[in-house]
Amino acid sequence: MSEEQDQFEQIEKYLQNQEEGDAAFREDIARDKALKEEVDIQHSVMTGVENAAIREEIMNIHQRHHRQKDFVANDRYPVWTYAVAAGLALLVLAFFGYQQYFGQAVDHQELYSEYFEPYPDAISLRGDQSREVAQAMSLYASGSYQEAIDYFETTAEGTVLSDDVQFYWSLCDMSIGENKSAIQRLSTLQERAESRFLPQITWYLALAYLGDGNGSKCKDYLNLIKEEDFRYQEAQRLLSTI
Amino acid sequence: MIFWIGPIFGELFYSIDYITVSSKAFNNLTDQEILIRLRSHDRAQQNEAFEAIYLEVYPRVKNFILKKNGTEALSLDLFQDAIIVFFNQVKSGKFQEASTISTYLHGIVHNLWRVHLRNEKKMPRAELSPYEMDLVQDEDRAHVDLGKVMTRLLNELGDGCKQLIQLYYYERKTMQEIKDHFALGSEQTAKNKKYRCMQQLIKLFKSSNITKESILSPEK
Repeated sequence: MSEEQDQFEQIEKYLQNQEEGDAAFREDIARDKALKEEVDIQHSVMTGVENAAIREEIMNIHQRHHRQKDFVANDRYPVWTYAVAAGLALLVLAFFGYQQYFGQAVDHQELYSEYFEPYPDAISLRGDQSREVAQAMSLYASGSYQEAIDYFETTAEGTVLSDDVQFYWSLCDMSIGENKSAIQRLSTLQERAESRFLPQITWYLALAYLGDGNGSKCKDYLNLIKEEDFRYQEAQRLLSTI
Repeated sequence: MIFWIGPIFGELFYSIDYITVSSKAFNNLTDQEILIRLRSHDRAQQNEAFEAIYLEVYPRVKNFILKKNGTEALSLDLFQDAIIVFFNQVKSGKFQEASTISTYLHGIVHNLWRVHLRNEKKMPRAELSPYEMDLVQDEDRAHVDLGKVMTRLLNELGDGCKQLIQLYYYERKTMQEIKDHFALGSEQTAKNKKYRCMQQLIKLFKSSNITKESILSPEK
């Protein structure tokens, strides 16, 4: 074994057993700048190899869940698959028929993405908000929903947030896909009926249920939206799609 | 009709398989179980956790990036980066279990996305809030850079060396297993081969455009 290979193995051993520690080698590293550079490079390469493998693993998972496309692209199927297909064609039709009438025929998430957009900031201009709420609203307006939630949470620890502010908190939850939290908060606001955003709350509550995959509850709330209410047209369109 | 029903059947069977697999991973693993798997030294368990996270978080990441006029490829790239950041924070004990994994990862993606915009000069004045700054530290960015650079370098290295290096450093196979895998004469031969492959990789790494900030010291 060459001297270089010997040093390589020694560094590797040190990096792999760092917790146990090799005091003498650690001292060598502290003394020798060139050796420290080699240790750092070798450590970075080993870390990089692990991180690259994780990237590859995620890509494999992604491709595994998207292999449908490859399946469709491959048009050479054994004859028996066609025979089975013919024999079970009725079952397929029954399956799709069932989906059409009883199942989730439309993709709720897709509809949610299409219809959901955060309500414009209509409370900051009033100027009667605390500094924390104003900061949260500024983050909300810039699309930093997670950070806005952070501010809302911190503020709520020390004070009671108004229903109007809680309405915007719910919209932040919805913007990052935390629909369950939004449903909980919006339902309370709707029952209390003290917010000036009550018509908007009904619309967003319906959307939160949609985003949560509950089409039936979504429909219930959409049906509450009257002709003169906020987003009536959209509610009707959505009702005809779900 | 039969000719187009055949492929549809394939799709149908796949969909059923997909739903079963998804719900299994999604329903069976709580945040706590995911963390236990990530902290284990068992790659199979860690991969199971990655899959559960992918199924739960990636669709939302994709929606978020597409809404911001990004592409699906960018959403996957940022998701891969976010997993690397998260995984290293979990291993080093920096991940505080104050929020759900889903929310936390979304925050990381948001941070990485803003940095991406800034790097692409699409949002030159974009500043990061203190919260965002905290979420992804310099060391995390170094991990992300190393992952990306090494993906490229390993491919430059060729299949044989790439496979050997991954088997030893990622899969944690022993030299005996590597000797058997490559049908080599002895463990020493396997060891020498591994050394030569690593020397090539280190050489490529030193001549790559990696910045000093991305070099990680084991003491960090």
